[in-house]
Amino acid sequence: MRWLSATEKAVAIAALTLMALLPAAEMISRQLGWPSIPGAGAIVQHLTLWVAFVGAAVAAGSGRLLSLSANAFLSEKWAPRVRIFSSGVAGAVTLSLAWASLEFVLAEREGGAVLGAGIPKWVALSVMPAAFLLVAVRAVWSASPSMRGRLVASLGLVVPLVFFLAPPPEGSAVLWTGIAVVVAAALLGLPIFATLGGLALLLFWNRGVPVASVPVETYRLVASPIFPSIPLFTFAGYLLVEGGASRRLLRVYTALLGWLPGGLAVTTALALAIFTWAGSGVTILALGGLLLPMLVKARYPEPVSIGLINASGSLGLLFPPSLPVIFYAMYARIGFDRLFVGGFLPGLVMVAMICAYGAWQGIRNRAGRAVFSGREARLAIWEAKWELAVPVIMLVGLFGGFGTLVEAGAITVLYSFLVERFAYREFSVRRDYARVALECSTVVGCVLMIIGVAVGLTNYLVDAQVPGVLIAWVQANIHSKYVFLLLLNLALVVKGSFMDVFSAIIVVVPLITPLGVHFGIDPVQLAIIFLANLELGYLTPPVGMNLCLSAYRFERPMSQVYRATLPYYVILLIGVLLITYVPALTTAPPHWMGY
Amino acid sequence: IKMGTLAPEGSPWYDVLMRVRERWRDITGGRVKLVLYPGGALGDEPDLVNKMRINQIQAVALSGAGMQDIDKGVACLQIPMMFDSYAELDYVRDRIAPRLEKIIEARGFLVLNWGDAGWVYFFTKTPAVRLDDLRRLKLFTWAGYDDELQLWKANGFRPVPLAATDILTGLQTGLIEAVPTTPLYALWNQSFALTRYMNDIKWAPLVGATIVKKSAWEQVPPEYREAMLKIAHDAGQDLRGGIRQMGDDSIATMQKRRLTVVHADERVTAEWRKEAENVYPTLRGKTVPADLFDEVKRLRDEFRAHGGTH
Ligand code: NA
Ligand code: NA
Repeated sequence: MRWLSATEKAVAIAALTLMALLPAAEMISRQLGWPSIPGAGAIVQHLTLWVAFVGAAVAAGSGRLLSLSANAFLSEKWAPRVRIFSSGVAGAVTLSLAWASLEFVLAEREGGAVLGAGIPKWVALSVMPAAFLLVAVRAVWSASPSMRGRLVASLGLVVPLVFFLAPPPEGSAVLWTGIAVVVAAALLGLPIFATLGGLALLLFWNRGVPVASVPVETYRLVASPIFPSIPLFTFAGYLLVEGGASRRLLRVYTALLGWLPGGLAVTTALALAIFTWAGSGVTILALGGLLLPMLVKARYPEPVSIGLINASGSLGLLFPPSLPVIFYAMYARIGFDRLFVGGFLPGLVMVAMICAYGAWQGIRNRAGRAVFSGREARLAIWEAKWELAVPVIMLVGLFGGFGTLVEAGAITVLYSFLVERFAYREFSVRRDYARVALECSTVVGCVLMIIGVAVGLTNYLVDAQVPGVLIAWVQANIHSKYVFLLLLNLALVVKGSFMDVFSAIIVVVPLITPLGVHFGIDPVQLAIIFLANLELGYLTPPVGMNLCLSAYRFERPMSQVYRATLPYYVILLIGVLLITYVPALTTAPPHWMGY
Repeated sequence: IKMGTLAPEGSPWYDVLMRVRERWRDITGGRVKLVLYPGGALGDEPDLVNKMRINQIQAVALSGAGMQDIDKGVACLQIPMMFDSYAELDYVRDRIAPRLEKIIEARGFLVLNWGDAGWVYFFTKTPAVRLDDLRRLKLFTWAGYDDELQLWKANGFRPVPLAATDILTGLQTGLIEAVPTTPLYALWNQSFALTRYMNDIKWAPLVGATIVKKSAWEQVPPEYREAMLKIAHDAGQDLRGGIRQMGDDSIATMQKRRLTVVHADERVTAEWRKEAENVYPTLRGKTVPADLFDEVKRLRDEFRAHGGTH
């Protein structure tokens, strides 16, 4: 077991490193007119698949796969039994997924495609069944400390056999029983990816469609051309935070804005808005940890401060290189540059509203202000100059015609690494690199696994032609664009409470895009309404990611965090309605820029 | 039978597939039901092929680009500067189709009909008449086809391999300045708004085909198979004229919306042809199987020798 775990960690680190180096090398060699690496693009896409799956296996090994509930309410007598049950279900689903992926790999092998550099495609794909198998074994192993408990949980591993040997059942009793078991297990701690995967497998199987339809869709998404940018930008964020960037950047913002009335609140909002692109979580943990004591010391009430940090942590969502925006663009086939232009004004409006409320709270509570010092501002900027240049590097790399989004991400990783290693010398390759790369691929693996399985569920919706049914219903029953938008916002708010950001994009976008066309809504406006709603999603109980992260970081009960965030939630909701009913906010800037 | 395609609802390809669906239903008394997933709802062409392999769907309507994921042989119908007209293409294709169909059948698939998606032209940001003009521009090529990439490079071009999803952004940011594509596609994805010039040399045809998985076809009651095949085949024939007309119409539509067509005269066209033919020895055997290449060339020359009167 130990050598296995060491191997998979080494593979995860190597895959992530290689996927940063290859596109960076491509971009540089293109400028110099050197030959390009054969198959580089395809190889990087498949490395993403490896990072995702090996990362998820590592996460399973350390018990870090995200689940919906923490089942803390259970008594000591029941907790172990519940754990055995949910682990057994996890084992059943994951082993079924391994089987389904194996079928996919075998079909692909028949096709005989080659990736480039002589690597057959099916070899690259075989990481899928292998990782699922590992996760299944680990789920059963961690079910209980006793062998008896593990044995009981391993009964779950027999379930896939029944499914694959038995024909799809008549009627729907079996389907509903299966769904009930999965949902119950989800409430009792089943990992999110296993919940979604279980539902998708059951639905496909019940329709008599091969279950390999789930992994084929996972592959389609995770190995798609723009997708590598997600782990890359996340990795860059990790490197920066690890090298102490958050401290230096905060010094700059405080020096520049801290003297304003309510200036510290404005500082908080802007600092978090600009640096939440790395997938939000890291920044809240790093910057929020530094900001909360500063705010409290300056006499901002603690709930006001916690709420402010939570809300600001999602403000960056509309600005480049926000990963959800890129992801939406990819999924809805809109140019991501167009979405960033369209989201700029709405993003500013939301930032301004949060700033204004925070500043008002500061003034009302007679919060302390810093004295402006030109010297301190100069020193702070000079110290942080290399890190202040990160957004410039990224934007020039992308919009300057030097490379693709993926290459811009890779260059950002390379630059962040060089800066933290050589300019600030706070980052040691030997001490920190492997740890940071592993941490990043684990987190990326957790998230990508959920996303990857969520698309399997979407594939079912498409296969069963649900979008068509929904569109027909809406066309028959809703006649006003404004009623539709109101209902859409309502639905998105509800959805935000039980679905994470990326799964939401995957499941909802194929449903609303055709409806948007039907009602003549500009696709950019529709996208920004949706994405602005996602900002709310980060703050919606019970699974709003910022709420969980800050409860964890500040060691406060969830209920307290909910209450602290509520006023900000209302403000952002007003912002969303503004975006919904003032289309010019989103449609005018792209028009000016000639899109 | 579930069938996926990139063709959007309301397009002529889709209409034809719908017609096939109705007629199949009629002659089999509803026993064969074709379910269509248009507009790329199930993914791009490689995804469709994957989904057909795992049997989520049983049939696809593909362009020549996606056909390459099934077998490379189809490339023989898309050799640059090989065909001057649809008449030549039809002559050659009708004669080489049985051979290609046999190759594809060996891979486990049946060809229901052949179609086309129009000629590939070069769309550029600045006017490009001669190949040397094109050499100055950064040229989009499909990511994942290294032989082609090296070929462009070896001949002094500046290819930038990208995914189709990067085309619009790449044009916007200047990462690419020229895109070889069909007028219908340029109009559909609006890339022509970023490439204001189109050279009127027909670079290569983009063919297409409707394909069904052999194992699924064998579940169709044998007495219907022949009639169903004929329906699909005839539908493909009917489609040709419509698509070709649409290709021309789409150029006119784009011209109304500020596309400039750059005319290449006899002399320039001859120059293009000569340069392309210089590359044939490398193409042959590398991107196009040698035997198919030779056969296509022989058939074309046969057609030309008879003065194009077949
Ligand atoms: Na960006
Ligand atoms: Na895009």
